[in-house]
Amino acid sequence: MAAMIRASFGKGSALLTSNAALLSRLQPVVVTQLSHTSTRSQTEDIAYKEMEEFWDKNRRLNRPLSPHLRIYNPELTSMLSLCHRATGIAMAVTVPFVAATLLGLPGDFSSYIEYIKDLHLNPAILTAAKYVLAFPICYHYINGIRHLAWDWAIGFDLKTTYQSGYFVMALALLVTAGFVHLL
Amino acid sequence: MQTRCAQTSAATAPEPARMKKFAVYRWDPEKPGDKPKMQTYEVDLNTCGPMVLDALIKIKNEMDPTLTFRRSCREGICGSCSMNIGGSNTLACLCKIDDNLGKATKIYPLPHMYVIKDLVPDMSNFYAQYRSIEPYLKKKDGSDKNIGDKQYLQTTGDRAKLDGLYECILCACCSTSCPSYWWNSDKYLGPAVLMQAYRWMVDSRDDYTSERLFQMEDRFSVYRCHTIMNCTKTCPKGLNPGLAIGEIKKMLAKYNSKEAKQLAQA
Repeated sequence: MAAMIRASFGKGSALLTSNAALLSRLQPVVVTQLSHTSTRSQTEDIAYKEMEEFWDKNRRLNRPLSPHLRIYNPELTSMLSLCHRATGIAMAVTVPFVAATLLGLPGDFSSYIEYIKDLHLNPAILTAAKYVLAFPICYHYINGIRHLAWDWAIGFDLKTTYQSGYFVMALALLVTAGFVHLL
Repeated sequence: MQTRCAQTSAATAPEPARMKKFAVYRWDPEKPGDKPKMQTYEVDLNTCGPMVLDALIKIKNEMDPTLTFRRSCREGICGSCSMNIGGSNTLACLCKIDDNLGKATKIYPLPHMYVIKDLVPDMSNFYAQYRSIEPYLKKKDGSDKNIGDKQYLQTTGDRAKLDGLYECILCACCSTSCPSYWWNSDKYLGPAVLMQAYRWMVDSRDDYTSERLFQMEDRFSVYRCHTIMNCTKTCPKGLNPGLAIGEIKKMLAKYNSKEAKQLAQA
């Protein structure tokens, strides 16, 4: 069931995945969801039995889980990956929501732009809002190219990973600034 | 005579003590109702070896014998002393103590693992996952019935493919640095085990490559890897599990899965 929650949301839902992880701790661990259950060797059978015993024993003994998120160093690798996920979720949620809302509301898109213009907001707020809107698509797209390279197993060594990471972040900020100030 | 006395007395002039704080995660299963907490120890770096393991052993010897941690070779080859030092997973015997006396060094067990005591995590799940990938040579020509009769020949090119894979000491630093493994350690195999699975897939002497790949054909064993790359960053031996997983994914895309399924179910 936890697996189904994860399946329906795909990559997008870090929050649901952590809840699903909690849920899966409450239920017995279903290790037999793998594809080749009918042809398991003796070694694999022993291994899966050991895994089940591990979860039973640790839950029974109520051992604490060692700290993870709050103590682990934020690395460029994990922070850029988190940014990719966050921008992905942000866009996956807001784009359909805004589109559906505009579809439902009266008047067309340009009347809402006029409405925002008439509010006479501080231009700094408008610029900041533009940055917030432009950054996700720029970063996610450029980091997406980095991910595509990884899918071909290109650029996996640590030095290239870091260099490409800095490059992607710098380029994304540059392109965002370009969109905000030049368009 | 006087010169020699001057020399020896100069050598024994006491150096000012360089006290370094270590904040260590403690939890005792024998104490009912005990909660995990941090305990701080002060160590004089002038009388301590350069590595964090030296400090831990000094603390255990001289200050607190109840401090519990795993250790063996003290040279970075056994993988026993893997723990989280200063926010990163590494081997305590290879991690130099940070000379900055103003900051305490924080020492935690490997992240998101069940704690047996203090810095000792339960590694049974990790070992069971390693066992599940069958990390040994499997032959189809029946030659394993007469093991030792003939050498299994391998070209230098094929042997070179194993470089960067066979050196893994299974310390679990990489797997426990992976957020994906934190959330899914029951079904996702983790970088260490996957790199070893790849090591056997790519060994020219092994005949079961397709079957090994077919074993990965589900949503969790390999595909929970989202290329976060914390694994490669943290490996204390300088290996690249992220690359190995990338290569597995490439192989999974290219191999003949129908044929493998038939072979596996034959």
